[in-house]
Amino acid sequence: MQFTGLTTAYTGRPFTPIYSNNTSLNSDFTLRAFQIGDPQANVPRGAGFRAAAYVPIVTVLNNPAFAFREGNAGRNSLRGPNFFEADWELGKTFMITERQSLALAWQNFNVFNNVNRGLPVNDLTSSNVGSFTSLETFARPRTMQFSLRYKF
Amino acid sequence: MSATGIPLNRKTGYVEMYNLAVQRELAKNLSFQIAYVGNQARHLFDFFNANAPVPGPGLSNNNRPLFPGFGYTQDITAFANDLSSNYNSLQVSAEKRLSTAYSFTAQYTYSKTLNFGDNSREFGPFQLQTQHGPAGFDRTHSFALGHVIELPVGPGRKFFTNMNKAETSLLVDAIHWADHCLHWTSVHAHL
Repeated sequence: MQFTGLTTAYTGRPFTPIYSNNTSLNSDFTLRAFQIGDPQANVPRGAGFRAAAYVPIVTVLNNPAFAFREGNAGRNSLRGPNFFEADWELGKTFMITERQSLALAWQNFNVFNNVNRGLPVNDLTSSNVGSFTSLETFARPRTMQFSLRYKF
Repeated sequence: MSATGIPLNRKTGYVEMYNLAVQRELAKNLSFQIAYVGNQARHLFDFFNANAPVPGPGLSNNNRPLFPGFGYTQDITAFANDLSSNYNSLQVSAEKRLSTAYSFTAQYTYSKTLNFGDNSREFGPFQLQTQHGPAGFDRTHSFALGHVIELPVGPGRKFFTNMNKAETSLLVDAIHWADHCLHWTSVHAHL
């Protein structure tokens, strides 16, 4: 009887806070965010970062101090959530004769059913900025697979 | 009418890779490796809008760099080989070959990748330095563990020593029965 598996864990990938509205720039570029606080401190429950750490788009559009200027928030200055997945299998091979065997396997993908969220909404003009609306690429809920293989 | 500009003397992009690794056999069937792995890429391909409006008041078309001299208000896609990137990492791994009851491969990587954009420039073409930052795929810590464990059950093992034999005979019985059923249906199909 064999217990085999692959367990992976890694920390989050970065992303950039932006405003999807660049009217104040009067140009073609994406408008980078104006940071005024620590986006990683006092993060609201369930959010990926604190959107209040950036100047709201209404202020950017109406206050002439922000006109024709790019924000100071660095490219990829924020980090997305960590990733963890355990894929484990329990298997047993039954010998029928010298040359024939049956292999029974119980495969579990994402054994602990860990929710691997994607990057949070990075658009500060969006009503759900900071919230998680997607799963990370290749993330999956716990999936089990039973297999019976006859070898000869 | 838009235009595309390609420099006459394009520099060739290149990557220099280097690593320093030490591998030791810690015990029988168990090896350990620690390595520094890095690379530097230079003159990476890039393109940007060389006639993009500079942020400022007034009609944005009038703020294009080529407007005052030529009255040109279209985009210019300028090719360049002006980007660079670098990668630095500490990689630690251990590998245990299958001997008595288990084998595993464990890998840990502590790394950083810096670049100017994963595809092209993300922001204004006139502020190249502000594009510099961690790559979109940069993950600081990364760990992977692969394992195979022979559980101490079955013949010759600690627990359920007779299990294999009993189950095998059960399975053989099941196969005989399935074979019998198949035979039975085939016989009746001919009647």
